[in-house]
Amino acid sequence: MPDLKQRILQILRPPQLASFATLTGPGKPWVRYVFCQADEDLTVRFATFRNSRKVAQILGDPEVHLTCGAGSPGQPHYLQIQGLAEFHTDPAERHRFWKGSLQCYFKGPDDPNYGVVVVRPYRIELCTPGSLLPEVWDKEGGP
Amino acid sequence: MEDNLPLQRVLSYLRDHHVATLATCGDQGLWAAAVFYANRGSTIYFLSAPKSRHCLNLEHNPQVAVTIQEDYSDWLEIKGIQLEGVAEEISGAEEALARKLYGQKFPVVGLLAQAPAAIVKALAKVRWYKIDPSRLYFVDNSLGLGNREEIALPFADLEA
Repeated sequence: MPDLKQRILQILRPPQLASFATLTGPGKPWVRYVFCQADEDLTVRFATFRNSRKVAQILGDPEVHLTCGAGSPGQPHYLQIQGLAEFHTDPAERHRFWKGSLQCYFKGPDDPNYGVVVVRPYRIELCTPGSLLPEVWDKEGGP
Repeated sequence: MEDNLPLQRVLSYLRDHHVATLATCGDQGLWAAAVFYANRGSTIYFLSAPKSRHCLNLEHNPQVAVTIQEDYSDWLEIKGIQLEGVAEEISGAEEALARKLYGQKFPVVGLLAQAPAAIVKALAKVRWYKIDPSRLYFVDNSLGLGNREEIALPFADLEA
């Protein structure tokens, strides 16, 4: 059986709709879905508008949570991801993440409204419905 | 009838989907868990182990946010529900209603006598909860990119 990180990547690597939770204020969560994609190092990225609420919330508190794979029929596992989020508008990050499907939202990778949220996970739970104990991946050294 | 269309879409979406992502906040920060749900109108019911992190969070902070969606490959087809509200553990008649609704939606729970022993054992340990939304949005990109409509609350199931 592949190691835990590889099994997490199998779920996380394809572009997908995931639930992205932030805090809107002390003790007050909000969650919305985002189209995200992960790299081999488990870093997750998704595009957003520079003036979106989620950006303001990330700047206020970078602790975030992603849930991936939970709404997919036939998916035997899902992921609960704790991480720290950053918002990037530098050209390198914008061009690196740019894809044609973003054209319905932005004029291009240099659109001033376009930015990229980068989530660096420090704990990932690989969950199986019906099982109370998840398998846990922790980043070396913690958050 | 036309006025009820957004509500009909929300109720159909709630009926046709099974998993909600429940975001809570506790001593250890933010947490978002997947839960199977059933609903009556705008009230969402779910069951969970009381020692799960989201249920422990709810003991201290009932504020929650929820999404219900599936994985869409085409951005223009994305639909889903976003809501925020308060969640609480239920008992008595409310729990009985939740069990009934849940059993209708998930027959394995409704027909306990025929359920596998592992399911019966797991269900003996759970508690029942409800979410009363204070704000609820239905997102439907098929009606226009970023189309998000706030639905007036509370709402009941529509009569057939």
